[in-house]
Amino acid sequence: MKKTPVTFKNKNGLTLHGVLEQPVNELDKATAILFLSPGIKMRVAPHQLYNKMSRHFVGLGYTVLRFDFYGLGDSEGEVTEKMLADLYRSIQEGRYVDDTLSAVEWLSKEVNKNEFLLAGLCGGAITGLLSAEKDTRIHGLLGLGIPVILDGSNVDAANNITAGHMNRLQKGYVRKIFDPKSWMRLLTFQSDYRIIFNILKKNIRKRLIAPEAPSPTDINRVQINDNTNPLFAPAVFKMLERDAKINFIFSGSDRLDWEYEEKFVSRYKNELNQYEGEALSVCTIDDANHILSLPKWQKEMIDISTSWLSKNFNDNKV
Amino acid sequence: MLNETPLYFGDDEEQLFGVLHIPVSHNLNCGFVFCHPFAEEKLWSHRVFVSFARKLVEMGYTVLRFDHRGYGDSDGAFSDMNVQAYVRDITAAIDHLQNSQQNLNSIGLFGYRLGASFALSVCQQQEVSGPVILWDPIVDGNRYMQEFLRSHLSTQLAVYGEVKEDREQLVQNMNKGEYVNVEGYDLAIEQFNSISEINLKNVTNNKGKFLIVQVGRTEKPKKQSVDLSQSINAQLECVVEEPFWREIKQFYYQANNLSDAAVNWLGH
Repeated sequence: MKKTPVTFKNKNGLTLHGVLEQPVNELDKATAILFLSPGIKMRVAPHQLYNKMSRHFVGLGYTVLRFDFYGLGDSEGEVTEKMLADLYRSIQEGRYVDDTLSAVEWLSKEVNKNEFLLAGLCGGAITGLLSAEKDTRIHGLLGLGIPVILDGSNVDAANNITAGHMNRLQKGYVRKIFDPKSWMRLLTFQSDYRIIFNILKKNIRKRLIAPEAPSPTDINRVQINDNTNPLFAPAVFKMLERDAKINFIFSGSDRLDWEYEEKFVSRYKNELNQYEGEALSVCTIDDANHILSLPKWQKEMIDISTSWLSKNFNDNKV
Repeated sequence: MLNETPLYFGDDEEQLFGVLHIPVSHNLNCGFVFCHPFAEEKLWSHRVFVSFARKLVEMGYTVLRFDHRGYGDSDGAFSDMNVQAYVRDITAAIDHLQNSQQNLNSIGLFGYRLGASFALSVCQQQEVSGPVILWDPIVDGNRYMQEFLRSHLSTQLAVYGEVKEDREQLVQNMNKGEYVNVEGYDLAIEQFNSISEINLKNVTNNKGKFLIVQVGRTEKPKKQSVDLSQSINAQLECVVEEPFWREIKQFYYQANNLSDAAVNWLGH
């Protein structure tokens, strides 16, 4: 693998830093892969997850660019948000779409590629989704643990919790009934009372009240009363309608999996039917945590990604 | 206007990635090699490192930030690291800075958390010609590694709902030649033991110019910081900062109290 540190300018003239990784053998796939930084974890991602993925993909013949968005990693620029949740929200609203498009443009000129795949974990995945609708040279998205919701320091997460997440927490609380330390936490006001209250409320609602009516499914007239990102569904359908490919991979122990199911899939079941399995592939890795810390989870994720890549992006460069 | 160059250096088999910051206006002909913290602490605090490098460059210092082997964009595997390997990387970075920037009259070190402890280890083995700035050095390596293993227990709780293997069992696994995966980092017994053996209470050094900046919730000096500062003849400053080396609610772009303490000490 040939590794080259690179810099390029974004639309505002700020220098972005990255590492270009290219195959050294005769393999040279037509598609180039751009890794988009997750949150503040820069171009390597937690525990060098992107490096591990990149090494594998370059071995298959893909050219890879990993780079830092402005104000993060080694790149120029500043981030003025004081709270991480507010920074995450701005990313979920498209803060780094322009940087991504600048990277696509740079890669197109420097390595003569015209077909791109965006890959990312969490904030990197949503940035990829929102960027894909702006440039038709982007043919695919590999999204790991993509957030469907909007974060923010003013968002009440306890009030927007999904049923799946609540069930898991409930099981955790049930296990703690006989644990004196947990009772001590409860009695010394260290427990999260809003979560406990919500679990009780949800159980009472389940027994006494009819289930809530499903939300409207018209993707062009989204009326969302919770913390769902209103940009998410339209961006997914725009990609699918132009036959771009999406592979979402979730982690079984991650609340994002339930959020995707309850705040996206359940609302757009009918619209999604025609794309599932073909343009849209969705997998969940059992037990895995958000950052896919264990090697067995990483291997499963890389195997799923590899098989999706070989099915959809296997052409060699002409 | 920034003059920052990403580069690779070191031996051909395992190259180290670094970013060289060169002052644009006045140049003090003094350089710093930055020694980053351990495992995921490096990523959480990366931007603070970058901001502090830019601060020093504004003042006229040349800075080389680099990734240890098994970190960032450097070659090598985390599982192969141990204290001697960290020390070798820092020495290689000093050599590279000296050879590539011939104008430098002295080169100092800046380290944070375990990076500060590694920097101090370098000072034990060779004379460092420039100032040495240590932010929150890890004094007790054994305690630090036990805390690190605790993250493994938290992961077990979150994923399986119970702790299947306690710390003692994890160490036994490493002793059998297995890796223990903590937050995605494969920890081998050699690295675990060598870091556990760090005990800065035994360090002495009368050569060089040292600053220790203690980080905490109050400005009250801790005994271990006072003892260390006395044993290496360092100036001790105590500042209040949030623990930005791990996930907290705030986004730490720069650590003003830490960097101000260092800037004041450098005489600006």
